[in-house]
Amino acid sequence: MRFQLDFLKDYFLEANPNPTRAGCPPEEKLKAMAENRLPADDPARLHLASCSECFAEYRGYRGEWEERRSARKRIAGWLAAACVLVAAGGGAWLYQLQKAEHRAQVQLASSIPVETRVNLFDEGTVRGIEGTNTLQEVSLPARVVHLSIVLPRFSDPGRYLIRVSKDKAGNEVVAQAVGDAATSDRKTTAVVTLDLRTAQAGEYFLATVRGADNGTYYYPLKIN
Amino acid sequence: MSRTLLHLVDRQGRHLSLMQRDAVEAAHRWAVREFPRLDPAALASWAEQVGVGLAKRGETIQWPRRYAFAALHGKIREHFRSGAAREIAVGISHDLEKWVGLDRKTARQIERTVLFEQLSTRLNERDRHILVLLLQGVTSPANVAVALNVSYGAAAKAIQRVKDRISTMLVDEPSERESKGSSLRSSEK
Repeated sequence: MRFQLDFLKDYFLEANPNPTRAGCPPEEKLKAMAENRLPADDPARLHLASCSECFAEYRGYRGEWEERRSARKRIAGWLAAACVLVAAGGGAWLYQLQKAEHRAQVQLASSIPVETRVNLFDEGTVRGIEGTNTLQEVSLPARVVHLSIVLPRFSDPGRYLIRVSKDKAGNEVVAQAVGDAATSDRKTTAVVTLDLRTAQAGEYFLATVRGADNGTYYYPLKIN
Repeated sequence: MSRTLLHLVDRQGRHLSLMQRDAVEAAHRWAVREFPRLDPAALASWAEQVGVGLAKRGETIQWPRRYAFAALHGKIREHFRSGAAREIAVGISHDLEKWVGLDRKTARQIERTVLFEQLSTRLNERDRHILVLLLQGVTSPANVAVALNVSYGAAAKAIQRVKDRISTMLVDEPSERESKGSSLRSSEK
């Protein structure tokens, strides 16, 4: 088909010489025809079938018009792509900004210690790393917690190390703090502040280590 | 696509006016587009000659663009007619044979002339009008009907007829055409 079109174009370029330019429409009309601005019934359209010179001029105008049109399309394409890029960049920037603000707000909120109380008074304890106690699982939030632990019955007052770790051997310690335990109303309570913000949600162990004899007791802990 | 920079000056080496330069450059761009197989250097040289001619007749030429197109087109036609583009590389017998004999380009030229003749004789004026409308992008029967001042049905049929005629002319092998021609001649006798 392409060959046919080229061939027919060549035919009209060569077959009808009109050196005197008899009956030729003005240039403006040829230009309008090339730019599809002329109605279909304009006689100038049929004149091209009998004048190679006008056909050549028409082709010249047509080619220039098509080049301009494709250039405009190309520019429009680039502009659209640029707009998409700018919008995407702006969106990403806004998202990052909001995320950073949100993170800052969360950080600010989570740096305020949460008052938490754990009551181990009635729980049996198993000493050392071999056994586990029968304590029902304790839950703590992944935040800075101001923890008051009521130690098991008959616990001595004094200095205690409170430790949160992944296992009972004390590996992968998430947080630990030392606090003094005091007895009041026959209950010994140790108060410490633990920063659990870096802890992933999951299963841990809460250990109480008595400073006097290093006696360690473990309780299962869940961080939310 | 890179563009050739034309050196557009008159005989005294003065630059052409803006309008004249635009006219010659437009004609040159058109020629490059329409005749991609022509030597770009030759096209540029002809365009520059057209520029010289345009400057010489500057006062008398009413439409420089029209002049530039006609003049450049004339030069291209002349080039095709003379067959000057044929490369002659003489040195070994094979090249010489090719030069003396009928090369592919000459054959194509003859084929083209025959086909043009056929188009002129086999197509009537209305067919040519339809063809030129199709080349302008006026392809729907409704628009062709308006252009030719005929009914929609007549336009649709005429378009189909022209397409059939063209494809018959273009698809036929030359040998087939020759045999058709010879049989036609024998029947005339």
